[in-house]
Amino acid sequence: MITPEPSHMHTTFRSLVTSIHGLLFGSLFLIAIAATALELLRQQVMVRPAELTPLGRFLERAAYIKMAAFGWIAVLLGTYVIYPWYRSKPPAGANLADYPRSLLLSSPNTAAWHSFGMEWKEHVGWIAPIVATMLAVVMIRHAAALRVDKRLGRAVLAFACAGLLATAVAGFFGAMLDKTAPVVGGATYTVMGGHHG
Amino acid sequence: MAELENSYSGAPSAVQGSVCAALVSAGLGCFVLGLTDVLADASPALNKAFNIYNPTGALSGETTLAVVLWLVSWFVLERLWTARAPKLGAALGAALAMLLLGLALTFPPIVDVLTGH
Repeated sequence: MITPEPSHMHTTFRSLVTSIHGLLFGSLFLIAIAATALELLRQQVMVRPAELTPLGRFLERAAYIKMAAFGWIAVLLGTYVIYPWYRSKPPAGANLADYPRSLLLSSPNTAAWHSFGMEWKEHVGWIAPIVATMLAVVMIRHAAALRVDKRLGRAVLAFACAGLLATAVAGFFGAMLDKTAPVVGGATYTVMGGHHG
Repeated sequence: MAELENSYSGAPSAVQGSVCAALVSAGLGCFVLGLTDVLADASPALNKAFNIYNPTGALSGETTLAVVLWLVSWFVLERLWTARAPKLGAALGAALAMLLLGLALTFPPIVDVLTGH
């Protein structure tokens, strides 16, 4: 009888932080800004505005504040924690798997993931939290005005759509870059341990 | 409440001014983000100047400048335009134009054309 090899689920510190950036805060932000764009669109076509209870108003305002907060956390984590790991320069003879930017640029088959994907993501991603913060403030302070003044409502909706587009681009390239050249390294953690069979 | 909201077709002047301030300043922030991306790509000197946090490179200065200009312009425009609302069409047109320019200037093929790379 063959004794099964023990199996574990390992991850590294950098992988974990990257997941928190994209899968947690990035995803929550994408959902929140999409919901806000949908709400603005709904306000443009509704016949009679919905009236909320005090609890409903509180929850609505909290949702807008959380949207902006998720956006800022995602973009700041990405820019100031993960991006330095991504772009760090390898010493001579180093394994490029630990240096995602250099790994991507080392092959013509993957170079555009950096020169197009990362270059676009790192800049367009910053549009999203700026727009989200503006949306949160305007929706909390002037939601009624957006319902009655269609020009204002449509302009704010256009910004929400741009923010959603920026988030989608950043999210898509973030996911694809992490599949092609994942950010790894740092301490290794065992998320789960067990045995085959 | 519904009758009151439907009884006029425009928001009060101070509210219009406040929303315009939020939109125009956000548009400006997006435009500055795109513009600094192009400038940092075109000029090694500017690229170096934008590098205020070395591990992140020029992106640190580009985004910091955009965020500071966005917040300062929001504060100033909010004070100005709640007292006296701007022309709505002009303000919204400027906000949307800057937003679109900002989006366009972050798109790498456009950056490459503008910088000759």
